[in-house]
Amino acid sequence: MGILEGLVSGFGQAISFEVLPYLIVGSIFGMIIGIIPGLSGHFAMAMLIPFLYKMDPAPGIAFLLAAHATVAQGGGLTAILFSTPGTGQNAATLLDGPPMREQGKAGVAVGAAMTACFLGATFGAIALALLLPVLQQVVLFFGPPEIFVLSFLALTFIAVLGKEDMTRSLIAGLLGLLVSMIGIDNVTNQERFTFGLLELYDGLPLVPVILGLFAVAEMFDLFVKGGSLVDKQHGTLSAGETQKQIFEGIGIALKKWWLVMRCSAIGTTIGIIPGLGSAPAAFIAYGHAKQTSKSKETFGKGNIEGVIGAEAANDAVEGGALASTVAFGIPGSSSMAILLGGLFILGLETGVDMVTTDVDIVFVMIFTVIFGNLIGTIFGMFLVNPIARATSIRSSIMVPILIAVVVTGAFAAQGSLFDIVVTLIFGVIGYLMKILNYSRAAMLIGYVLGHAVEKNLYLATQLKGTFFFLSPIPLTLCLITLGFIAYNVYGMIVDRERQQ
Amino acid sequence: MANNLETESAVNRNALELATLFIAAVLTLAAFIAAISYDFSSSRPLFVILVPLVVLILVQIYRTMKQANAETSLNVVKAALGGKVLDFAVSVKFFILLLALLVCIYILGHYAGLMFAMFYLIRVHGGESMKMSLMVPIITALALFALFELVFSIELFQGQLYRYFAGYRIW
Repeated sequence: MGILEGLVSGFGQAISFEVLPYLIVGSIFGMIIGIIPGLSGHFAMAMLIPFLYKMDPAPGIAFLLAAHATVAQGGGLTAILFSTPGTGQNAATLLDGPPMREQGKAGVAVGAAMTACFLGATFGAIALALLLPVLQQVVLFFGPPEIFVLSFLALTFIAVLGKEDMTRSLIAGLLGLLVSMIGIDNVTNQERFTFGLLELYDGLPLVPVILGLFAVAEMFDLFVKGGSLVDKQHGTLSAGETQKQIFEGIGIALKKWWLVMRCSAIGTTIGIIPGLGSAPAAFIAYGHAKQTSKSKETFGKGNIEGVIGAEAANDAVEGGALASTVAFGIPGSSSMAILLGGLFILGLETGVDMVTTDVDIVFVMIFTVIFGNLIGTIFGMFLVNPIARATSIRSSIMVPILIAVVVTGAFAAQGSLFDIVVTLIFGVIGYLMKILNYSRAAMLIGYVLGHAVEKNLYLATQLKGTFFFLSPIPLTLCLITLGFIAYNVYGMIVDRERQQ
Repeated sequence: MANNLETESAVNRNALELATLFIAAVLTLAAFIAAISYDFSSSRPLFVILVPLVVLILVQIYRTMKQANAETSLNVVKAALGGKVLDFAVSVKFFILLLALLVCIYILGHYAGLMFAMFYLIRVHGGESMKMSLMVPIITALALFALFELVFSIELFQGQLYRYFAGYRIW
């Protein structure tokens, strides 16, 4: 399928009656999850994954991706209104959002943040569309040996660049790969770590693993912490005043279009690199906004450029992250790993097929990101005050409701009680990883990549022999991986010596 | 005071990490031994993963041991198992509640089991009012029924009790 044909078909599907309702529901759901502190983008996606079994590809992708696309918008709202980032990626918004609220300009900040999010996401999505012709050519150079080595390079990037400790993250990534090997080997029919359990013959099911690692683990956290979801409630503005200020904020964000473009470019570029994610992108964009501002001294005291820069970069990340996920099947973050799992459930293959044959699906993703953010912006503009009240729900009520949804989702995926058991076990593992600072993203990415790693290792050895990694591209990727680890270990040693 | 709490929390975390790593090391070694018995094509990817994994786990145990006193860690683990570490005790309680929820679903069925467990969590653990404790589970169950059974046509587990009275052989 050609790019123009894919664009028209993708647009048509995204606005069709079959897809649009899911896109709208997904956007609103994502926004509400984003508003609730402690629940993030991967939580929103994890909750929606069980429904995919009953859906067609286009509605399924729209449902899943729309929820993820609007989480940052919701999180920005909470950061501005309650000084608590709804998600980790909104941490940079805390620097100037709450000071603006203290000055009585909460609505202006919300309006500017929402618009910046929408424009940033649109920029990232367009960048992905423009990258498609390049990806179509590049992906042809990547056969089994290249994908095998690339998987390890991606895991290394995630382990090194992620916010968690490198050794712990590498352990998590390898554990994820190991867990993915459970079940019957498709090539030799060898049972591996099944303990004779029929339920494990097909391997550990994807949905319960995702729900356990990300949803149940958060429930543990909320249950242990208890109390309300935000520590301090601030008075909200009247509905009329909020609307007036929001439109003022939208106007300011549109006037600062050049800043939005620059910060979005930063976000998209960072999104392509596996492991970095939205939070660093937002901080780098914030730094850039401050450096290039005429009023640097007001940053941190309520400068709207700080809010615009951080929020634009936040959402622009998605376009870049989607590029590596759809082209190589290498997810750069936990959310992209869940998306990849969702694509498997929907019967779609990433890689060459996705960027050459299923171009319309890529465009459904692109339009979902754009429309999802637009819906989020409109929804957020008119319902700021009511949806912000979601944060006042006590965890004693929130946890049982979410647990009910999670358990039902785990069962519904395959109609098996065993899946609920797997969910609980991975909930404990996820919670332990969370409190011990082990990267759950690395584990999930390892788990999702496991099948590709095994299949490509087998094919690579069959096609090119044991020393397949000595071919030019795999060797270069191997050297980058080793060099990257060595450079970071060296950096750690130097840092330790300096501290002593 | 805050410093003391932080130190105590770090000691507890180190002890928990050590205990977790030891369990992970034992399981990984067991996986390694099991992998030896597999066909080479099936065990090759396992070795590619297990060799660096074992090394990294040992490195992390060494790093944690350097930060933590082994005897103190052992005492913390003993205290945790005796229910004297609050966060650990609450986490274990939550896990037991989740297991109880599973048992409820198995016996009573999905909706009844969920409502029962939710009522317990909201009323007994959360200390909420009776009205709230009844309302939230009922509304949640109705919403789940509408979403799963009506919208997505996914039939949830009916429970062994129902199956028994419906004439199924359940044992």
